[in-house]
Amino acid sequence: MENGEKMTKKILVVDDDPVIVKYLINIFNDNGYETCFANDGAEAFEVLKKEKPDLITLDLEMPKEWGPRFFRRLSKQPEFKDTPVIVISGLASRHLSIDKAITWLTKPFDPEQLIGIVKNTIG
Amino acid sequence: MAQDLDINEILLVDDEEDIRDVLAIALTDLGYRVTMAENGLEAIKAFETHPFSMVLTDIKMPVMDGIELLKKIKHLSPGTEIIMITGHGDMDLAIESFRNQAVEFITKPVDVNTLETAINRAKEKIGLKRKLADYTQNLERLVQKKTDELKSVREISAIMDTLPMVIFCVNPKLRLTSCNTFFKEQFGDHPGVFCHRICKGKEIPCEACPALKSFISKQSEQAEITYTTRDHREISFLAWASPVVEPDDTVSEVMVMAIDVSRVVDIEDHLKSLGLMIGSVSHGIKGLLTGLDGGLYVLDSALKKQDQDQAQEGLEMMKLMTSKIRKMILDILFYTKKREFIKENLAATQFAKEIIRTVKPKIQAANLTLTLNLPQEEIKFTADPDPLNSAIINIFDNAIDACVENRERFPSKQDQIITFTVRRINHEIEFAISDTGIGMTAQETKQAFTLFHSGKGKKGTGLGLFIADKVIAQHQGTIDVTSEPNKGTRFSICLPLV
Repeated sequence: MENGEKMTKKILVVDDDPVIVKYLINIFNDNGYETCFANDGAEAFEVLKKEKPDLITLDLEMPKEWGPRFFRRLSKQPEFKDTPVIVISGLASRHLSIDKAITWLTKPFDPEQLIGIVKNTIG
Repeated sequence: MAQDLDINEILLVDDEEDIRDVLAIALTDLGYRVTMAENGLEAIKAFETHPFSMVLTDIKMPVMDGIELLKKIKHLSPGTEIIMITGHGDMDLAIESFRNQAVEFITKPVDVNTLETAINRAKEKIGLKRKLADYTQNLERLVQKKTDELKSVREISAIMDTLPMVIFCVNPKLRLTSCNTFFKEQFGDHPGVFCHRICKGKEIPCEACPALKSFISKQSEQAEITYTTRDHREISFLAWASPVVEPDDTVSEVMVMAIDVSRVVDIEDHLKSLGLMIGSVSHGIKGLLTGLDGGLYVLDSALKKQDQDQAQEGLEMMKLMTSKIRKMILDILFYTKKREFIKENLAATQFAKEIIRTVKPKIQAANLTLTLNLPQEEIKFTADPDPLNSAIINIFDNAIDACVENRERFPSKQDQIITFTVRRINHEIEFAISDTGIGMTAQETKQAFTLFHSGKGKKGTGLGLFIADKVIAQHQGTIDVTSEPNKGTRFSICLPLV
């Protein structure tokens, strides 16, 4: 077994709405994942470095730094560029600059579908 | 002039290379020839060598931003239509864009269908304007012909007087030389006075002055311009200026003909704000529905685990979301419904007590103090009680939020007070709501009543104060706000007593 491999996988939830953060954290915890969260892109970057999550869920519309910018910064970091990202947003269309997200979910989303995708991606 | 420009050419301005490339591909697929610029300054350079009938520009760019570019292009070529692009939620920028005559506003991420619709609307507007210009030119020719015919017998003024439009002539110094009856009715008779003085009350010529342009170009020029009438009404006019060219090729006078288009502008504004609202609201509603799902999920999962605390949390999430959705829907209904005002004779004390009955539970739940200053002697006034009541309650809601936020931010400020004052000031009745809450900066105070400006971030729809302002205006009253950050806010509503 690789040294330092985590037993429980960790998911970073990025959303500026505290109710939605609570929702997502509850879904992930119920399914046996660890969680951490951030309320905007800049904060997410700090949490990312500290917590080294296995997967990220990303909202697009956030104050200070919005999703696409966070995504661009993430893609430029060799250590994190392969971390899978699931976009969960109220916007119907895909943002041109986040082409590499593993999937796009539109709010309101189906929790079963979300968990299915997460399990397929990180186990 | 914009009339001769190719309608299938677009100038695309965005500072982000990847977005620019993808948009250019999309536009090319739609059959347009695209010229690209990285910022406003580059765009102006490109525009000066080769004007375009349509410009698609990002708002937030370095060097020269989209709003500045919009103003410059509208100045260079009023017939050019400009579509603005920006991130979601920038409603202030959207409104600023429309004030500066942007034709459309689309949000990032840009969806190809939305883009196509926006371009088609811009095209439609260009087409309409060209038709209007053709019509005007015919009118000009007709007037010219009539002028020639009648000049010798000095009957031109008779014709001008019968036309239901503002017509006036100015000399090269922009002083009024003659005008028709309609002009006199709107602005008074002021021979020899500067036209900008008469029509705008300004000491310098208007920014888009078509007469000035016409003196220089010796051609007809057109502009959309707002004039202030002598009874202080602001009216939007579509104005054409035609030069009177003398045999020695000098321009002795310019004749300006202007048609009142304020109703068209009003309708256009209303449609635009409605469209904007639906866009911003549908995005908000998706968030609220997700929150509602969230509450339901947390509650459901708590029941399975028999976790009482989590169940309570889920219930609170649902209650919060339900009340937000309810408020949003009520706001929308109020805004979209055109309703008649039914004024009633009211007694101030009873009216105030009804408001207090509604707001008191909320104030107590938030653990705030409510101080009342009700009049000793009864004040009778007339108003439509329902909308006035909800306008005042909206202000109370803001006061409560402001107090709670101040307390959360500064633990030392636990004692938060809301004061409700009803009193008579000369011939007016004043309802004042002051709080010791978080307060607003000068900029926030200025924007408080604009549509979709929410001082509460995602918590508000940005409609509450806008509606309050509208209601008070319909009562011929005034609403004023004074505020200081971390000190508090005071809203004062004054209604006439007669």
